[in-house]
Amino acid sequence: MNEDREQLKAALKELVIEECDKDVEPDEITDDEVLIGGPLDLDSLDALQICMAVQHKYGVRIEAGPQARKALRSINALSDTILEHRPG
Amino acid sequence: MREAWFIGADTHTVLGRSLADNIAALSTPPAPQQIELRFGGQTIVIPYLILADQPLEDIERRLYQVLYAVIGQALDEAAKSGMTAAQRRRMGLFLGTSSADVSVSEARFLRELETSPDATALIGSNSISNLARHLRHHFGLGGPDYSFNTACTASANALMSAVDMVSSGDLDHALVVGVELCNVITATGFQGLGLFASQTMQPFDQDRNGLILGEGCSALVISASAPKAEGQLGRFHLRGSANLCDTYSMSAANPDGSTVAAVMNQALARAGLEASQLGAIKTHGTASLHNDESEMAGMRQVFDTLPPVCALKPYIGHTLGACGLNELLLFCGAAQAGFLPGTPGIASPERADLGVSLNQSRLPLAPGHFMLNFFGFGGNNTSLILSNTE
Amino acid sequence: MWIRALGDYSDTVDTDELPALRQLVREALGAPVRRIGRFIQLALIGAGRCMGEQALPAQTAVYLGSGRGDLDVTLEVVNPLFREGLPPKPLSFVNTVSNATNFYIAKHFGLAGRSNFVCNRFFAFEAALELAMQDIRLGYTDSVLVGSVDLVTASLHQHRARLELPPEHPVAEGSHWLWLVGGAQPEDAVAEVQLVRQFDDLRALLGHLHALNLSSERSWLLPGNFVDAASIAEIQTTTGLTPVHLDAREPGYYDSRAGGAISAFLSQPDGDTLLHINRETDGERFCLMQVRRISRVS
Repeated sequence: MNEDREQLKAALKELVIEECDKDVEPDEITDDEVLIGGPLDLDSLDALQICMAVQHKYGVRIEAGPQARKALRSINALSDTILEHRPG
Repeated sequence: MREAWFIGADTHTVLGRSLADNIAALSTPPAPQQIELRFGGQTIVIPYLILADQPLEDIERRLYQVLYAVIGQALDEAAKSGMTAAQRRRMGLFLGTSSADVSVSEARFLRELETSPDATALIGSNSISNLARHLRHHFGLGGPDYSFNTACTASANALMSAVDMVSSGDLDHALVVGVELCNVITATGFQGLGLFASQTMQPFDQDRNGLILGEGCSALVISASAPKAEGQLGRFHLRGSANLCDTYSMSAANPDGSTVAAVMNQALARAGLEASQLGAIKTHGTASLHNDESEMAGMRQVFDTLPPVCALKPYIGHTLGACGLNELLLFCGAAQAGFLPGTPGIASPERADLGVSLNQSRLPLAPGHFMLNFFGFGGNNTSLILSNTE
Repeated sequence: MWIRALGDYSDTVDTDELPALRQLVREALGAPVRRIGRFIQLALIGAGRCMGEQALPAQTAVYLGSGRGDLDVTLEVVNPLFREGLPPKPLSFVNTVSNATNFYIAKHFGLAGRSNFVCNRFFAFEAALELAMQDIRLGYTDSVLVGSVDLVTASLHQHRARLELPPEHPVAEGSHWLWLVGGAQPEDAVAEVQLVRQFDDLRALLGHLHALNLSSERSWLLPGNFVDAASIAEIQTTTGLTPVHLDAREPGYYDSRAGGAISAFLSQPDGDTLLHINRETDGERFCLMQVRRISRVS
């Protein structure tokens, strides 16, 4: 389970970098740094982009509003959301 | 600078097939239809304000049928106002649209994909300018054509350039066209941005929850010569205008209102008017919190006391690139008929959460000066001052 | 009106692997820009090369013309949508508005002036320049960054089909920019744009050219990519001007190739005046760009 979580977090960092077109390496993103408006300087459009990619890749739909704000607090929060709502 | 007269106009929206029908229907906003869109093995149902009496059928021809009727009517009125056939052949075409003929190329691509998985997208038409060329050939217009593609300000910007070319003497006549019809890219794109309301748009209202897409097509003929007889738009003319870029965000104006105030102030200055001289404001009013906040903050910076404020998107939906001309014709047509449209129950004094309420019912409106505002994705802000008095 | 700076990018594309532009954007602007596709990248490279280290006044307007617009981002949305039922990605969808390009340029240069995007199949660059000059004349602004962009999409086979070009016809992409100002002649002006005007037909254009009474040696009559040989021959007969023929196949076809004409003229020593002539192939209209070189004693 822990291994799963670590793998998922690594994959999510790749996803964020890819979807938001950031020029950083995955290990430069920490697990608990703020994603939107944090050191990566992501905005609400990045948030929408990440949510759509997560839905497509993991089948987890993140509703705009409070749920999205919570899920996109950090890589930790995003992986928790996916593990909690993942189908199957 | 010469006067630029509005000598022919027509519009087709959910409210009706003519400008007169549209004006008559400005009393209760219509409910959107739920329409089905099919693409790539998916079907989605979304709310849409579809053109009156123009079912979503025969999509590869529908756009042209709509445009031919609206432009034909505007040109007929212009001919009755005194525009000759020779003048028509030299008139310039100013097209403002977001999706142009995308509905047509989508339908063609879908049809071709049914028989061949190797079908190539964007084969039939792949330039916004192709629609302008099609219209020039259909109506025998030999003058220049310019297609403006600046998101939700496109047809407002087309009008600005058309009026400038007529009043500066470069052209004697101009045809301004705004068009936006239902298409899959626009619908799914806005849905992906999470911007759809579930029912009528409620800008500036505590219960705002986004926009409803609308279909619309409008045409306006502008002339350097005064019409023989007063037409549908009376003595209305563009007295001043401004367009400025706002680099705050791709998808929203600066919420502090500074960029919205700047474009309004520049339009007023170009019109030679003070804010206190305006008789009414037509808001952009997309009913997203971002837009409403920026727009309201901007208005407060420019106006000590606000004149009556109205919104037209509850009636026709957000017609995107065409909203500039659609809403201008609706506003001027209503003002010419002596009233400011109201939106009953939307942003009433009890429900407006940003401190400014919308006009609630038809309000008598004397000839005067009016401000119409439009803000688009990609940071494009336009403010127009229309007058039907000196 | 005065040209204070110019910058270009144009290149032949002869493989389905389209040139990577990210590094060129970084070089032209001194910083990377994220969330943009090749069309906006091309625009930023051209505009960045145009301005170099120079700053623009904050009220500078941005006028962009294109023959087709951003086909790349449109395809990025259309193909997944109609083939696999995947909705447009938000960052792609917002960039389908053509003025997204203006946004990124205005943001990079810190501009808050007017922003306009105009599409015209045959006079894309000329139309942008024409509208920009009108705005300067009417006092909207006295400084405009004017440009045109058209790009190649993959595959080349499909691109040629979209553009209705014969198989193997060379194709290219280009981004051409100039900084245009009004008012008195600035010290660093490199050229004066004397006129950009459309004419209803060849006769009207000939009337204008004839009245100019230009000397054949001092003028560069440059046919645009859409003008036909018969019209050029008639211009030659009527005015005595000799056309300069750049290799029409270099660097390859793109709609707004006229955007590179002014640079091509200024980068070689001959001639005081450029007369660039283009026409629409499905109509009678002609377009003239008339530019005077400003020579400096070195």
